[in-house]
Amino acid sequence: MAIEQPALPTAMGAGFRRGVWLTWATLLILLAAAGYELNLDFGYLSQKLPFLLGLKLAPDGFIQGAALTIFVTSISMICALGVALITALGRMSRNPVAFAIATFYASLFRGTPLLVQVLIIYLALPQIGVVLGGLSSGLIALSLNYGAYLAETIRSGVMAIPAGQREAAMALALPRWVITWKVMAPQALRLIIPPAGALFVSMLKDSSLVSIMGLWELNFLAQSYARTTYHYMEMLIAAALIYWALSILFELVQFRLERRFARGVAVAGGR
Amino acid sequence: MPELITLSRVNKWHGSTHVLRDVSLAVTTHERIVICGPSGSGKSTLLRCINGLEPHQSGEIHIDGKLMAGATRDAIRKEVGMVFQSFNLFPHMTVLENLSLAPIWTRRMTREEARATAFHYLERVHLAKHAEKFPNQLSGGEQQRVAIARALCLNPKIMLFDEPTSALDPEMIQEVLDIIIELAESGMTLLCVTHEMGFARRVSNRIIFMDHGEIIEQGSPAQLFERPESPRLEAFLARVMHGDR
Amino acid sequence: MSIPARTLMVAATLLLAVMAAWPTWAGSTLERVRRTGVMTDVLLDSYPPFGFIDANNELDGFDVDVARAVAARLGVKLKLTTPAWEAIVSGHWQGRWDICICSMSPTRERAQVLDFPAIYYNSPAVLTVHRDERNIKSAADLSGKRVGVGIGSSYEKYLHQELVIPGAPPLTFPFHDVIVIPGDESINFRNLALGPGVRLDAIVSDLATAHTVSLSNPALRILSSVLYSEPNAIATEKGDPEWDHDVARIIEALKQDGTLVRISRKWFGADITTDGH
Repeated sequence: MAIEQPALPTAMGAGFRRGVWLTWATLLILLAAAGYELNLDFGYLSQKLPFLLGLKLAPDGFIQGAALTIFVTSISMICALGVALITALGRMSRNPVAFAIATFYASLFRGTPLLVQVLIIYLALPQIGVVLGGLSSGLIALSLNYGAYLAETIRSGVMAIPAGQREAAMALALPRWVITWKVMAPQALRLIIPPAGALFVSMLKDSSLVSIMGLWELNFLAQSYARTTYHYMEMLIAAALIYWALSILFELVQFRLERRFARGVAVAGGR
Repeated sequence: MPELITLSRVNKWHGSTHVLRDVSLAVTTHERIVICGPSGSGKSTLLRCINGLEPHQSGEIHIDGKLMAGATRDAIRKEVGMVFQSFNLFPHMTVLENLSLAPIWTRRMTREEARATAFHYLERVHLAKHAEKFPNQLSGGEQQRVAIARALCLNPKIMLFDEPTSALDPEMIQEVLDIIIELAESGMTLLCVTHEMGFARRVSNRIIFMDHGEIIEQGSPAQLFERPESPRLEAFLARVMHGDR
Repeated sequence: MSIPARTLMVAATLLLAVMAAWPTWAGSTLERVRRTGVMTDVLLDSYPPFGFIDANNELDGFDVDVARAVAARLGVKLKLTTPAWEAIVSGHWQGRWDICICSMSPTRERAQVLDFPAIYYNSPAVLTVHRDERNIKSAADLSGKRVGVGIGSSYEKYLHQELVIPGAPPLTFPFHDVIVIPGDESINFRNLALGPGVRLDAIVSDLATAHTVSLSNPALRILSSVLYSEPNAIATEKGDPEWDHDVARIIEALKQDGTLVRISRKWFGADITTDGH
């Protein structure tokens, strides 16, 4: 028999949800009204919108705008996850070399500014013969930087699982990979997903770094148009709203993932 | 009858504390042993060492004739079911999934066989109608019964119980003890660490009293309860029997 | 992993491989340009009317037109990129870019990492004030005032009294103790337009920039006296005399046949490319 698992408390049921949606609608209307007061040039805005969203390609044939932002963020997210997993394993390992390397890397990449990391990879590495393209440099910097933060999130999620869970699994003589993937990981993920989601929403904005290497992502285009034609308000508000929309998309995904991994926990007691 | 569990001169230190001192023990098939003693006496540690959940520094532990060490541990653990004080059910899985895990992944049964096994033991603990529930929808007593069923799904030769009722509200203790008594009466070899003296008397054919890491006295329930030899056991019994147990 | 994610990973790996194998040959620039048939030019994306993104989302401007002319002369295609100014100006391009037709002023520091094979126009440096400003009439009145300049620009050096224009007599600095505010140029102009002394008292920039801004912002007034005139040169990576020679030759040819003058008149209605400090 299926069990209903709502994310919003149903103690107040439909009334609560209605209240929330009404308040959101009101806030949005207020925001729109404030925007209207600014006398924005909507003609100019709608002309530039396709470029900002990345619906058209940049002159050099590469993707641009929000499309590029999503592209950079997604790839970096995946790579950061890989890096973070390895680092988290190293941090929890009893092998002194693995532990030392993982801790060193995490400390270094969390402790130095992302901008510095990108510039070192793009501008300083060539001095020792490693010359990377602009996109690669950005992806590597984002992956390494966020991988370090994510590693700590993963580690804390795993550590928060009560020791008894692992003991029970071991007492059942389950193969190690079953213990890791079927017992520990789902429980750890429930704790990891919210802070990880926050990290990725943050990465969305940090992806604007690739403009240093000449890539035309959303923030760069908005500022360039703004500076050139002095339509600051229009461009910056447009960019902000697009970022917000992208963040909301991420948050929706996170919401569904949280629900998936809250299995068995979100259910109100029913004896 | 063959000896199922043998401990020879097992010593364990936890840091600088000598937690198990030269413990030697032999358990034969169908024996039902209760281990009791004051807290800190090492009884839970002993149980966990038997199952390899904690390492011991010297001495040997043999289960079913095989030495418990390193690589063989997992293979041997298949024959040992363990029930914990805090149940340790997997909260993100239903009762049925909790129970099916070991049959599928340890005993390599098919899904159907695993399901059948799970339901078989669920019925034995009288909880078949809760199969699709999650652990946190069940009461403490129900959860512990599920935990017992989960361990039984391994079809083990031995069952270890580490203070199975210590975390339960008083009104739920009996339902769990009843299951263990049924298990004992069906011939399962079991070791149980508990404070429930009435239950100990009823279920066991040997009681072991531990204090400060060593076995002080052991014998049949009648012997230990009526004619305790060591003063420490006397003192312990006096304290424990004082309540409404 | 769902299928889209896996495809993305494959695509990402391929992309990374391609990017990592980006041409990094240490061969001469000319050889590379001829071989690939592409000249890669860097410029600023928001420096109208020299370089900016137009309504069709293409790069356009005086610098772009000059670059097109140079590429045409070489018989190659033109590729434009807009990396951060700091990356361009610090040299060590590692073969990523071939040339910078980007309104760069040659300075001693920049000459340590870049070569300047040809000067292609002169930009007069002017002083811009708010139209209600009464106290500042020339450079001499800048003492103790808050003056905005572009970050890392030659105007910043000028106000610090450090500017040396190669090939010209030493400049005089009739001011002292100027409060130099480096920042984004267009933000500077917005700040100046708020009112005299509200955030800035004046701005030092080149005439073309100030002129373009003042067209859309009547609150600003450009003082007529030119502070100094700076040559703007084409920059290349240091140590490639063959390429420099070719670039110089082409610019000279473009000057001779009037192409540069034509481009200049298109954007400024006047000729800024003919020599004469």
